[in-house]
Amino acid sequence: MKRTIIFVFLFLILGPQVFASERQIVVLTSLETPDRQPFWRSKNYEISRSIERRFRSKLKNLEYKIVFEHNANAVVLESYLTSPQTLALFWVSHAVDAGGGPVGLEYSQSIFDVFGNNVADLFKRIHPNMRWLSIIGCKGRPILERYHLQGFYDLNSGLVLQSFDRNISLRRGINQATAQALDHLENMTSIGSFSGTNLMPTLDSPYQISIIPHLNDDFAGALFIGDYYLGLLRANEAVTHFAVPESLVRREKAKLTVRWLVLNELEEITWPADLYIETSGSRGPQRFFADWNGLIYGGQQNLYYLEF
Amino acid sequence: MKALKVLVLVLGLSFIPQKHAESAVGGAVALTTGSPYIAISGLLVLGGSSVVINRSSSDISDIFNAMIWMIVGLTLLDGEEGQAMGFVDVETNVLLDQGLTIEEAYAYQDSIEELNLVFSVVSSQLNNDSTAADAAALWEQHGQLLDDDALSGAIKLVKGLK
Repeated sequence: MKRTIIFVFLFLILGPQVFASERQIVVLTSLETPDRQPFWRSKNYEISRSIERRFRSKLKNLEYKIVFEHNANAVVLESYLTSPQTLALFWVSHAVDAGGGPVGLEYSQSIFDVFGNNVADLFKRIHPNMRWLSIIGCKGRPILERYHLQGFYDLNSGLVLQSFDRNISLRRGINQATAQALDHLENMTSIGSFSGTNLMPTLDSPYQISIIPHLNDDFAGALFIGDYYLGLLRANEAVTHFAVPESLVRREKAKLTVRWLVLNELEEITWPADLYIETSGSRGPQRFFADWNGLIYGGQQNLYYLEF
Repeated sequence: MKALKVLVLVLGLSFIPQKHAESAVGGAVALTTGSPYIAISGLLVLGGSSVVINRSSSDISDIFNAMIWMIVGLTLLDGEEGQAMGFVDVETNVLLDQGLTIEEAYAYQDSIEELNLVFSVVSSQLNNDSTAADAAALWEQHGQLLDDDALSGAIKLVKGLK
């Protein structure tokens, strides 16, 4: 008994310190090396290797472990964004903010991965332990600021968001982001504000959907009710559950959009078939937006009519 | 010499949007957006307009960009090339100001997801060689899946592009 009490006591005292030592800085790059190179550049030039070298040089004084993932896809991004170990995350890719068009039409806010997917919405779900989030891409700052104002980072006390509100070159982007990150991370002495949990916060809602994802590793599905991002459907055998905010359900109904994201280099794309979805209030598969033959309509996107 | 260097750098920073994520999945841009401008042009043609919208850059500017890239070698992290376009929710009174009937306004608001889904499919079936007439034909075919009022409302909104 005495041993147990001592063990619990030591865990409570030392736990956060041990936890802190596992924290890591994550650098995700999602850029393809251009085919053509300037005449003075080596033929063996690889953009990812160049980026990694620059980051290692800039962040060498930090004591945290630095993890690099190149050609990062949506699943890799989501894994690190929602990981309790991620202290700081840098995402390097092409990006552009939303643009106003005429009434009713708008250019989408976009952060592209190397496979051409727009992964901007994935940045809405981050673990409360994250303290630095940087998007090294053009005009990513308004996107992050919008998410901040919309409350997506309310649980991340002390989080610093960094990006750019203009066009930026790769080299300049890395230089500026790492300089600002060093300033923040070196001065971050306390870990007291970390949530100390490994779990992502969950939404309390009576409206739940369950999906059996019959997916292969080439695809993930980003789920939306309107503009609201529910989460990422990944390839696994388990039933995946998502909570739908009550405010988005009208008369016990909601429209679910599934946007398929490509995760690997594919010679030819065959989009996933329709999903088997059940809701908390209705058993059996949900209706979908169908084509003339009654088959699910769309390719990269599908639409389901949920009934609760 | 310094002025020349600055000039080259300025030119390099200003005119190198071509290094967009080049994907191995048959064209990243096509995967994400297809040709939304031609698709919109098709919607205009369907609405009886002859205006064609084209936001794609010319071959000459592409060659110029490539030359600058070969000299300067900067990677600009610009994502405009792959940016998608879509219909968004609009308040009823604004839709009425745009000339939509009340039925069209309500149908449009109720059918944003369906409109965007058809828009994405039509866009994905077009490329830079497609014409507005091609797009109009696709809209005519796929538009049958949409509520008539929603489609006519969308056409009126697109006419606001002119």
